[in-house]
Amino acid sequence: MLHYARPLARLVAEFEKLPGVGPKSAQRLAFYIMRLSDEEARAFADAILEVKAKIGYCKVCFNFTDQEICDLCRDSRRTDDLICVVAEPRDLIAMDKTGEFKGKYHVLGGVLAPMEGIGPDQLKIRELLARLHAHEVKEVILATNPTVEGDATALYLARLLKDLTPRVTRIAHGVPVGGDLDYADQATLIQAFEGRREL
Amino acid sequence: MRVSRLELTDFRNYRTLKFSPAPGLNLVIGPNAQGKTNILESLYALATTRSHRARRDTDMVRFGADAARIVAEVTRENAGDALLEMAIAAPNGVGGEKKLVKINHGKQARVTDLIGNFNAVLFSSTDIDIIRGEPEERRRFLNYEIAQVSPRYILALGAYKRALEQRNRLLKDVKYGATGIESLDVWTTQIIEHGSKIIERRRAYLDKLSVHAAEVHRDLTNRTETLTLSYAPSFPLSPDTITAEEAAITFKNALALVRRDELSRGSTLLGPQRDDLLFYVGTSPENATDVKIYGSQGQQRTAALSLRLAERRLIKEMVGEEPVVLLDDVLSDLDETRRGQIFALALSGGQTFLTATDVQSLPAATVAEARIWHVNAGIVSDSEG
Ligand SMILES: [Zn+2]
Repeated sequence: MLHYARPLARLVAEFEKLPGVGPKSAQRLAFYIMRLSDEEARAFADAILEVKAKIGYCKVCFNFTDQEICDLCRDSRRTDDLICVVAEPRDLIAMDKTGEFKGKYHVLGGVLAPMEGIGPDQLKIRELLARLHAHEVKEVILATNPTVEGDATALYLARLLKDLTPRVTRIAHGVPVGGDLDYADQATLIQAFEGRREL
Repeated sequence: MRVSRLELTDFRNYRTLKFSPAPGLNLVIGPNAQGKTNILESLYALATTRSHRARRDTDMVRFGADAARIVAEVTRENAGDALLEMAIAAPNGVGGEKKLVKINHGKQARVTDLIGNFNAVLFSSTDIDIIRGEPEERRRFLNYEIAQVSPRYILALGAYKRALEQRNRLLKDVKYGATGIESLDVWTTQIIEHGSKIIERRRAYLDKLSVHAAEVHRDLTNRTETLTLSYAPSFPLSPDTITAEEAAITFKNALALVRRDELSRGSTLLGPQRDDLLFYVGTSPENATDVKIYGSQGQQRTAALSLRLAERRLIKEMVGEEPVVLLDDVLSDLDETRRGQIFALALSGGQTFLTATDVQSLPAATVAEARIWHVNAGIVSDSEG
């Protein structure tokens, strides 16, 4: 078996840690990087470091942001009456692309999953309750993925929020069972918003 | 229905296999461990989405290959012909198992979309374990056979398994004081929601299957014996409980009664994961006894054969067409009478695949009607017998 020179082996090993990247892809990516010019390689490395240095969580909704409070939360055209709860920042992005939703978001940072050690305390649930106490919200829309974990999380929140807000709904239709919001197409998501049901 | 063409790529020991089976009986002949069963396995996987014998579906991928592929052209009487494709990715260390299907060159579809396109009944020498083995064998039987006619059952099973794992983990963590109990209720709701769908479908399936099993068994035993199937869920279920909603209420109440036990043991104690299925055999339904405990080996084998024959009839009733019959190494342990019944089945009209080590051991009349395929070291060759 042929071994890589140490710096190359190190780069391959780093790529292999990425989600969805197997040994073959890691090798292909590493070879691609080797062919980059010095400037291109530096720009790539800088981008990684900058993300780490500058991106944090919004203090209100826990979306990714490079400011203290994110653009969405500061957008005055968006109503404070509606909060859409999602599991991850990528779900927020998928949801917001539809342009149908004019309220604010709340990112839980995951879903209930005892096997991964995630219980209510590991999610931004206390922070969501604080938001509801601080401002009156007319409706909370639970938009976790329709997986077993997403459903359990929505149900947990619905029971918790029942007395704090007049209306708790769950997006219902269109999103395929066991599917990820991430991959659902826009028409499906619009339909999902329209078809939300009371919990 | 029948398979008019089968193509395997990197499936088990086959790099490539292409052959066009005959409409009637196909004899798959060859020494052991040369790939006879693999052909039947691929067809059964198209019917049920899973391997009937591998612990993981990825075991179907040829060692060193990226993915296995099964392509079958299926001719049906009631619906148009269908081209079914299933690809099974090798485990690559990242993510879980990946299976993709395509139907009639369409878009990549979910694996459950295969259901409803092709049906097969697999008779195997290990079928007796359904009768005399552990309850797990009987749940496996139910899971495969209901999956074959219900994609919703497959989804419910997957969701239930996941919810159950999460709930068990939570119960264990609570038991050892690692976490609080506040999210237990939503996991209980999840197992009730998905579990009650499984219970509903198992009961409905068994109600239908037992009618056929009783008839088939009477015929097989020259009207001397009766066979009764009985669903044995992990908690008492009244005969009027038919819908999933009704089952959910009963399941919920039963769980409430064992809540304290569950917390002290750190595990879920009730649900479809503990279901069983009972077989009663006797000269009349009144004196029938549990064949697992009181039956002779001969009676157990006959009950297993009845079960598969009943399944074949039920599929015909449900989909309106004869399923393909797969007979995997079924002859070795049978006496003359039951061998005779198998040969009668093999020639009963529909498409059948029968594996055997040699042609000499088979009746001349059977061989005369059959198309013969020789399998050796992953190569299939046509022969005139
Ligand atoms: Zn924000």
